[in-house]
Amino acid sequence: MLYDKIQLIIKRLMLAVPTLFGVLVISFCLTRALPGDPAVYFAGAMADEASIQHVREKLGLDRSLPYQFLAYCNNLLNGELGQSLTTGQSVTYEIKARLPASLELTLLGLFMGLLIAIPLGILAALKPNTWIDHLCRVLVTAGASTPIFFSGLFLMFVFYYLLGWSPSPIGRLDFIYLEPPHVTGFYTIDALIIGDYEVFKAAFAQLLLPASTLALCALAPIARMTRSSMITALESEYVKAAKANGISTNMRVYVYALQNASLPLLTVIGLVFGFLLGGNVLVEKVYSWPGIGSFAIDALVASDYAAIQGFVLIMAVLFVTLNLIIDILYTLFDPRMGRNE
Amino acid sequence: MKKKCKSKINLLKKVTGHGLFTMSLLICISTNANANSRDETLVIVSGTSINSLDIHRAGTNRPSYQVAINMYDRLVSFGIKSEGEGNLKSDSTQIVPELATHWESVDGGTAYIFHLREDATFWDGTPVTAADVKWSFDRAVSLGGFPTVQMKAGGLSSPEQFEVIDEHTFKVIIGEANKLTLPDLAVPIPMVINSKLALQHVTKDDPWATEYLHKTPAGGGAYMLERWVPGQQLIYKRFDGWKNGDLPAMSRVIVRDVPSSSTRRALVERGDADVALDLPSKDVKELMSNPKLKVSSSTIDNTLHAIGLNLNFDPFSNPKVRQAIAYALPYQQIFDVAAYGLGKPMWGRESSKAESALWPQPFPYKTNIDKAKALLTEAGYQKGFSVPLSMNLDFAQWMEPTALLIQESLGKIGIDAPINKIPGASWRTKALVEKGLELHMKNFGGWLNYPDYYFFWAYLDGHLFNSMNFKSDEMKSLVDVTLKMSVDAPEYSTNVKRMIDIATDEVPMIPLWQPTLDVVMQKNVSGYVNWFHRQLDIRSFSKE
Repeated sequence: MLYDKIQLIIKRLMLAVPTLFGVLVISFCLTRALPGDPAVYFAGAMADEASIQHVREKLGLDRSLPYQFLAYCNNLLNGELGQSLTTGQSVTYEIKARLPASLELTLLGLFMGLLIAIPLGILAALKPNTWIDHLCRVLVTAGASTPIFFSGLFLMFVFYYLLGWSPSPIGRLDFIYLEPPHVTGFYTIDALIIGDYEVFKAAFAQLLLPASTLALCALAPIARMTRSSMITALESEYVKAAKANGISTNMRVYVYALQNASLPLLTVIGLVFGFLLGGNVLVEKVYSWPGIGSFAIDALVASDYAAIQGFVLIMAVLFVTLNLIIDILYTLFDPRMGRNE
Repeated sequence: MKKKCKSKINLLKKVTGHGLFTMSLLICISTNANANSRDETLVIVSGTSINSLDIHRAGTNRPSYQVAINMYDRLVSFGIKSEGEGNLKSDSTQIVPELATHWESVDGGTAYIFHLREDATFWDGTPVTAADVKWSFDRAVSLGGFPTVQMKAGGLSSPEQFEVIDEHTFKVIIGEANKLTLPDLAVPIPMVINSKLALQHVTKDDPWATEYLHKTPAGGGAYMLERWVPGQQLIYKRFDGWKNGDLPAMSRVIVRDVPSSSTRRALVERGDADVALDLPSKDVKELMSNPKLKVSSSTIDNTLHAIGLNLNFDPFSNPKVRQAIAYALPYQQIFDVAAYGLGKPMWGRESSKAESALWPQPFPYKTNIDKAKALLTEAGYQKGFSVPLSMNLDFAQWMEPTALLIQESLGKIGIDAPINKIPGASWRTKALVEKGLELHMKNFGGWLNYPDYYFFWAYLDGHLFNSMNFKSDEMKSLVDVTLKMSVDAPEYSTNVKRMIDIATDEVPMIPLWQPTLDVVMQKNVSGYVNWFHRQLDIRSFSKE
């Protein structure tokens, strides 16, 4: 059984290699197909023909496309993602600094979403058409229909501007604190590692509002999926059989039904996580969060090739890993998985 | 469960009930506490982030120019004048000492000799010498790109033009008298770098230490670098040994990147930021009536928001059609909707000929649809035509409403103008290099505040900002003789007036308004100056 699972994991990892290479080629070609000439853009408004050519040569854009691609692959093998022109830093530095920021925010947002959505979905499934089911419905509809930039601005308006409960939305940490030394890149965890509770509190306070915004957004699909898959599970034969055998309600609901209901739920959580990580640009902008999403958007606007390619590549790696983790979790939750093969 | 929920609802009710009271209390407490701990610190929130600490580097963006201004010194600087209503503005007619204590024009105006302040030092304590100035100027003219082009505008293009006379005397040779040289030494580009320090970090591939200076400034300016976290913040700390001016009042200045303008507005309104930059005109207009805040809004010298008409497009080759468009634009509406009334109107001058050499000055056109129709008929286009109206998405804030108003107005004289939105990254290629946009919105400002300098860039055939493909031999010969001429020369004002008249009659470009630079700050902050480079000079700021 364990051997089966390891084999499955290795197979999945092997499959990821051609996927990543495909992503590499496509992102390379697509960035080149973007309108605009980065050399012209970065030479500045006052530059003349000679200085544009100078920048072009410096960026290696005067070479043929296949040459540029090989050079890019060669750099990648050496662990270099190139220089971002918009931010003036190496793409590796940017990703190292920004990915943890986005991950910290997204994970907390997702966690908060799960914390509310799953119990809510279960309760709604246990008592369909009661007030809790209606509450679930209202929350799901509101969460799905409120655009993220609106809920972000609204929360900021109420909790920062009007009430003053939240710290000023100027990024990961107020300027009176110094960020903790880089270990994981998650400020909250890094602060705990060195035992600086004040910085932990400050970093956590900064996280709360943007994470709540994301949680609102994540809530809808998760609660809906929990409710429907729980209803299906509760009505299925094996739960009825368990009831007939006198197995306790808690056992039936939280072990038998929930375990089976968690399979579609897991898929949805994976999807929502990916969506939140790549799509929280608006939250990042509103809360001045130095995350990966706003980096990618700025790079796209400026046709910043290295930055876009680096972003796409990292996201591809993340998604492949995420899918892998979900597949592994599947095999844990569902005994049928991995055995038939 | 129900009980719990009820008590929560009650709590919510209570919260909203006491909300107003708590809110006002909280504001009082928080601002008081902040004021005490932040007396010597200035917090600035900016919409764009810095991408390099070296202005000479290829790809350095506009917000990064502030580093050159605050961390490095130049030989000279501009004076400061009052613009009324407490607004201060740089005065390009007045050149004042910075690193150079005095200077003289020698060899019949073809060279300048600068005497450097003898006790000036860099941050590391090494004295500033003429050799540092030479190395820095050589770097600016040799690196290519923006610094080289800007140096050239002042007649400086080769290292042979810079000579070290002795440790504290420096000579700039220009070959022929040029009124632009001295002002060009006051722009951010010709900054003085600590060459001894920089030379330690030179490599064979990088003879000008661009990689080192990109992240590590080496200067002697009033502020030093405390921390730079790209994409998040830049923190300046005061250099207490600064000799090239009055020691700044603020000991620490934090420039924080806050990309959303709504967030910047909230921060300055709540008092958590002292200065907010890059706010949309709408917010600026609204905040002007906020008694807790101070808004500085004054026009940017030598800059225009305008409409360009490309003469390569057949109908626009006829001056009558261009004039017809100039009569068809809804100027007042555009000014109210797109600029929120901030700026200086550039239409409706009474006299048909220019009466002064002032630039920018309003053109004599005003909205007159009948006249526009008559002019079109005269030109043989009574049935109208179709022309795409191009806008740069980077400036959508003013260009989008302007485009819609123009589209509607041109429809009245039978011209169909579909809007063509172009992303910022390709704008420059399409508008300025290929010069292929028929009808487009443009904004150009010249750093050196002379009308002839504006005409040089925007009205001469083949020049970068002449996106209209305008050709005029008379304009060319006028600019050629006027560009280097002193403003005191008797022909100067006649020549400039003639240039303005050509621009008015031929009207390849229709000015809409002269834009403003708007900065919102707390009531207790003072010392903001509207500089031609549009960046903050934090050296003059103080807090009460």
